[in-house]
Amino acid sequence: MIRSKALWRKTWLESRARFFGTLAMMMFVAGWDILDSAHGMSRFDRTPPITFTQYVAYLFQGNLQWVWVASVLLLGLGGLAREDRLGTAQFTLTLPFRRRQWMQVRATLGLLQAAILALVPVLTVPLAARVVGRSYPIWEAFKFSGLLFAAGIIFFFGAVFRSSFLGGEFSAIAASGISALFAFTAQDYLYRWIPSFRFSYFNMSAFLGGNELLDRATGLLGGWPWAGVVKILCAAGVLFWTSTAIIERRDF
Amino acid sequence: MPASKRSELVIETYGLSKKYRDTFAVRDLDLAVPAGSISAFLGPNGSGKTTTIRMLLGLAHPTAGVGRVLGQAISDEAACIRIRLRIGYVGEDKRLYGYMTVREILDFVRPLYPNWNRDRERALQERFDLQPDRKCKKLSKGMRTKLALVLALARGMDLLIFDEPGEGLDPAGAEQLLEAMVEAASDGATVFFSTHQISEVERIADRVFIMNRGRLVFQSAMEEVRKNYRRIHFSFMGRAPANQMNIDGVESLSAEGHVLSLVANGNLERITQHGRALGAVSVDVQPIGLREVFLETLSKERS
Repeated sequence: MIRSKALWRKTWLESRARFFGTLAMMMFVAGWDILDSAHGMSRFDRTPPITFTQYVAYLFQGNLQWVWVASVLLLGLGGLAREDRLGTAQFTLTLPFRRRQWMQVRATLGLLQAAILALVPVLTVPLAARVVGRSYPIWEAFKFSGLLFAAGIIFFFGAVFRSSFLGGEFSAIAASGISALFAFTAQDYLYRWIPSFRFSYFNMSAFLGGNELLDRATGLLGGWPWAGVVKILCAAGVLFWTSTAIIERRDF
Repeated sequence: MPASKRSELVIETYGLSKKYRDTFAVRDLDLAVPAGSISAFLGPNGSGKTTTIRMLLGLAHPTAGVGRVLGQAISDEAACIRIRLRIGYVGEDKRLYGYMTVREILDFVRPLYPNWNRDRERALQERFDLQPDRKCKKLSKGMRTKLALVLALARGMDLLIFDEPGEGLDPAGAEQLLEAMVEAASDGATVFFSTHQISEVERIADRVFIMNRGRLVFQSAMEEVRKNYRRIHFSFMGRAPANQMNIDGVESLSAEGHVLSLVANGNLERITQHGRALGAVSVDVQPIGLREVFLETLSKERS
């Protein structure tokens, strides 16, 4: 018990800067876009004018989505390959823990941090809406955040996977950025050959923003993409298993 | 190997090999480190010392062969955890978590070892003059080495494995390191360390292993080295008969004009008698140090 506490403590100390940084970024983006909603909504040149709930839905499909993906990618960085580059891996790996334990704790803590980050819009959006004299149902924000979290799992484990063989912080960030860009744009290319990909669950951007579930008239979400969540969990499981296998077989 | 003999060995490897692509870093290594010894692991750079140590600790996976440390198989990860609970290790790369202070890293490591010796920790911290509130990233290389030593020596370990521990230490620090190693051994721990400092080995080691190009090329008790190794100079009236000195115990020989010099490992009486029988007019027998044995071993390997 005491031993595993040390494991968690080290993992937390190494990830806390990234966590607090991304927390501040999420709060800023979610809060600022709502506080600036009068100006933000006026940019939509529409008749009838855009409603506040529609505006919030756009936020979840736009700025918040990008910030969220960047945040979970950052949370997935670090780990033993990074330590190898920094020169501390030999010390870490001669402590009485299995490599698998380091991976499990890192993944669990990262998911907890991602869950907390996902709650930021749930609290920030309704609160900031009140400040500007509007209201937004907390449950709706919760549903959008749930989608962010569910899709975030795949981005997070993608980052964990890349960091199992890329020790350099910049190379891991660059690889994460490229793969995220691919996840967001691949469907556009695939659509040219397979039109059914357009709004399928393979489209991460559409999944994150709840495109298939969104009532465009009200800007509210109806339902929950269970099939997509199951697919994401399966893919995340495969990525985590592969990452652990890479770390266990690697020489340090 | 008989079971009773095996139980006295703290480190044992049989045919241990590590291959990186087409190159063997370690090849067919049979190593036997007896319990309670201070064993030095010597060899030129790239000879396979660090790779061997990394395999013993489970940091690198052997390509072939088997190894046991403290009776536990190094290829079994669960067994490696049991090994790590009983060893203190200071690696070649002594970098520690830069974001932790000296106190924090001690607080972090201490609960992981049930036999942690708090008194030894305090004593070593004082001896090495380690300031508890200093961040690890602010420590000099020498101070980092000292902190790594505290973290290894306070564990209440059965085996200490050091990979070039004196690197980065000033002479006073190197002296403290040797004292700490001898103290650990006198407390019952086995010490296995790699180094390039042969003078240190001569002072504290009771067993020496020499690696070259991934192979173990020499192993002996230091006492045997001191007792058996000699440099013998034979002077002849005529040309030195180098080709007639093929006799047991002659490790290497060189002839220059009237003088024949050789390094002998045991069989000294017979060698000197043989020299005299060949017509040597003077025989000069000198003890040689480990440095010469080391260099002779490597040059023999090269030739």
